[in-house]
Formats: sequence, structure tokens, C-alpha cells
Amino acid sequence: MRSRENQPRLSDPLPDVELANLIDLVPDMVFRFERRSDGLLHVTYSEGRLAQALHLTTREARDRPLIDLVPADVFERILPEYEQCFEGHAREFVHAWGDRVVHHRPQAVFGPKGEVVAVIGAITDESELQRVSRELDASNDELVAFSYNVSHDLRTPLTILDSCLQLLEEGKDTPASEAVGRNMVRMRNASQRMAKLIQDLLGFGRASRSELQLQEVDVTAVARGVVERLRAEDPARRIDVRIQPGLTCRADKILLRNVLEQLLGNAWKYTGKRNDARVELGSLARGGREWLFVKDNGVGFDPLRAGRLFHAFERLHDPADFEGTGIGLATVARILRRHGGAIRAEAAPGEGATFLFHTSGSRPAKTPVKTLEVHA
Amino acid sequence: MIRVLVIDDEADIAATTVEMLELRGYNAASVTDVADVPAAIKRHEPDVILQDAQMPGLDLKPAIIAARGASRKRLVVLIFTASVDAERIWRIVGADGFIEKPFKFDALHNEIERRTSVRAMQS
Repeated sequence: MRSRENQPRLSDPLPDVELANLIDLVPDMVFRFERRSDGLLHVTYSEGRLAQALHLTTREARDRPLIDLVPADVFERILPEYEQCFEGHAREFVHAWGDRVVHHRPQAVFGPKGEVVAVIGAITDESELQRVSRELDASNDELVAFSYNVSHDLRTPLTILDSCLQLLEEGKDTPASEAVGRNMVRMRNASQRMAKLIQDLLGFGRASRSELQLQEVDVTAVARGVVERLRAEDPARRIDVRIQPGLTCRADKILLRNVLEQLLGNAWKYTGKRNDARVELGSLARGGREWLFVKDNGVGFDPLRAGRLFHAFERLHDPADFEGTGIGLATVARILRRHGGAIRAEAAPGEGATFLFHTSGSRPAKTPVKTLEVHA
Repeated sequence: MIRVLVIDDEADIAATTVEMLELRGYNAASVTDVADVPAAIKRHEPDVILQDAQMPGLDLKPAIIAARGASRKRLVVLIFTASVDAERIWRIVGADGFIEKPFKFDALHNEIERRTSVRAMQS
């Protein structure tokens, strides 16, 4: 049993000055509304940083009815709720206030006869919360779509391995060397593809995690390096590559190189069947902004399938709608989103593809460069 | 003898599937480019086509309509795919069924047998 000396002391009430300072630090608006004899709602107390931002502090609001203090659409929205509060039915609610999203938490104050004499409460600005929530949703959508892509991309070489093994099992009586040799090559290629897939997966992970080191990147120079490597890996290909001179953008150099490797590599691959294959990298102005683009005259794709992947922050209805874009493009989309940029794809089956992208939110459009460098 | 056309842009999948089908007694051929499909249908006159769901330049639903149009027979069209949503889309695109990759030879064989004997019963 505790003695009196050891019992915890109740804290003393805060001095008024300290309490007032404390409430000034609160990010919300804490308030007290009354209904006056004129039938109108009045603000008898209102403090906190949100109150200051809304010009609704006690000093600013005193002696004026609420209807004069808030925008008309806001008043229309909140009046029925507060009328319910004064009937004794207080409940939380959320609505838009200009650019903000705010959350009301009112509470009825009852007088001696059980009537509601005032409503007190807090109003919280939840705009940031909503923004982060939307970003999380978009990120989750991206991840789900990503896993659809991974599933599909893994199953293809796996199918080759599986079918080859079944063939080898069944073909026990056929001349061994030819069938076995052929199937061995196929299985080896399939395994290498799966290894590359794992590399791409790691690339996606890196693109998501690594800290961005921003600089003015010489895009033309990086692109030339990428194209040189593509040519070295495939010297037999005849392909007309045009890279606009003087292209730059503000980005993490390594991640930007990944973007170019992916987009130029895809263009390389999808023009594989043409004798007059052409790939271009340049910049253009659209919507008051400068975009970089990679354009090819290859087989193209169905825009309904790939287009939606690239809309930042858009809620995707069905992640399977953009299967087939692959981990590489998902990585590109993620890199550009992390830069605050965006990517768009324009294509039609059989008519080539153009991928437009940018890395920053507010880069003004420059006048287009007229001469293109030919890099045959 | 039932004739099967495999349409898949992956050369190794097309080749191994054709080999498997021939081991089971079908007359099989393959094509890896969407542009070559109508000619291949006219040339090979398949009873069944295995259509990959994702190929460069492929718009699946119109492609199936075109394939049926190019054939003098009533084609059995099976979506042949590593996609996770084969079950959802095969009806929408006008196919008769689907085969998921990877697949067991016996399962593919049984599915083709089932479909073609149904068709024989209907004609």
C-alpha cells in the first residue's frame, strides 16, 4: 500500500500563457461555436495553426457570424453537420476547403438542462495524408502490375525448359545425339533468359531504392555509349540511329542511362525484322514542356495494353491490362516517377512506337533543334 | 489426322510444341510472325490453332476473327499463354478455350482431343 508521499501527483493545470502558446503550436484548428440569438453560428474560440492559415483565429472571428468567415461552398457543406451537432448528434466528417481536404471532429457541449450550449472540436488539414495515400495506392498498383509482368516473363523460359525436358523424356527411342543436342541449346538459352530476368528484377529494386544523385546529364553522350554497346553485341544489324546533338536533362546519371538502355534496347529489338530499321532519340515541345523521345519504326504494340502503365498517380482499374510491358519498362516508369517526371507511349500495332519522357516537373520548352545527327 | 497450327513469337516454344504434337500423332506446323498467319492458315489448313496471347504487333480479338475468316473449316482456337489472366480473357476474345504455359503434353493432347471430338459431334 502506497503512502501519501509516494502517490503520483496530479499535474498542475498549465498557466494560461503556456496553454495559449501550446495551442498555437497545434497544427489543427481547435474551436468553440455557439448559436446566438440571431440564430446564426458564431465562433467564440478558434486557435491553432490551421485557424491562422484560414484567418479564423478568435481575434479575427470574434463578433462575426461563421457565414461571413468561410467560403460559401464550405458553409453550405458544414452548416447541416453543425446543425446536427446542436441537436446533440455530433459526428466526424471530411470535405474540401479550397485546395485542402479537412477533417472535422466536433463534440456537443451540454448545459444543465441537457440542451446543447456550444460545439467544440478540432479541424485537421488532411491534404498531405491524402496525397501520400494516393501515392501509396499508385505505388501498390505499380507493384501488382509488376508482379503480373514477372510471372509472365518467367513462365516463358520456364515453358521452354519444361517442354524440352518432356521431349527428352519421351524421345527415349529416337537417335539421342541430335534431339538431345538441340534441346540442350534451347534449355541453355532459356536458363540464360531467366538469369537476365533476375538481373532486371534487381535493376528494378535498385531503381526504387538508391538515392538520386541529380546532375545535368549529357543525354546525347550517354545515348551514343548505349548505341555503341548495342552495335558491339549485334554487329550484323543494319540500323539507322539518329541522336539529336546537345540533349540534356537533370537526372541521376546512372538511372538515366538505365532508361536509355531500356528504351533504345527495346527499339533495337522491335525493329529486328525490318531492313530499313530506324531509331531516333530527340527532344520535342509538347504542352509547354520539353520531352525527350525515343521513336522507332518497328512492330509497335497495342496502346490499350501499355499506355496506362505510364500515367503517374492514376488509379489503375486492372493491372493485367498492361501485361507484356515487361520489367524493363516498369523500371523506366519507376525511375522517371522518382525524378518527378513522366513517360508516355504512343504506338499502334505495325506502326512503330514513340516513348516520350521527361525527368523534371517544370522544364520550359526550348525551341526545337532543326538539324538531326545521322549515326548510321 | 488432326492438323494443328502453333502461333507463337518464341521460336523455341513454337518448335518444341510442334515436336510434341507430332509425337502425339498430329500434323503440326508453326508460325512466329503475326503477319504470316493468314497465309499459314491457307497453306496448312489447320483444325486447331494454338494462339499465343502476347506477340509483337498482335491485337488478339481481331486476330482471332481474321483467323476464322481465313479458314474454310470451323477452327478450334485455344489461347496459348503464360499470362496470368488467360482464364478471364479467352471468352472475351472469341476463343474456344485456353492452355496455360508451362503445360504438360498430356494435358494439351487431351484438350485438343476433347475439343475436336465435340466439334465432330456437332457437325
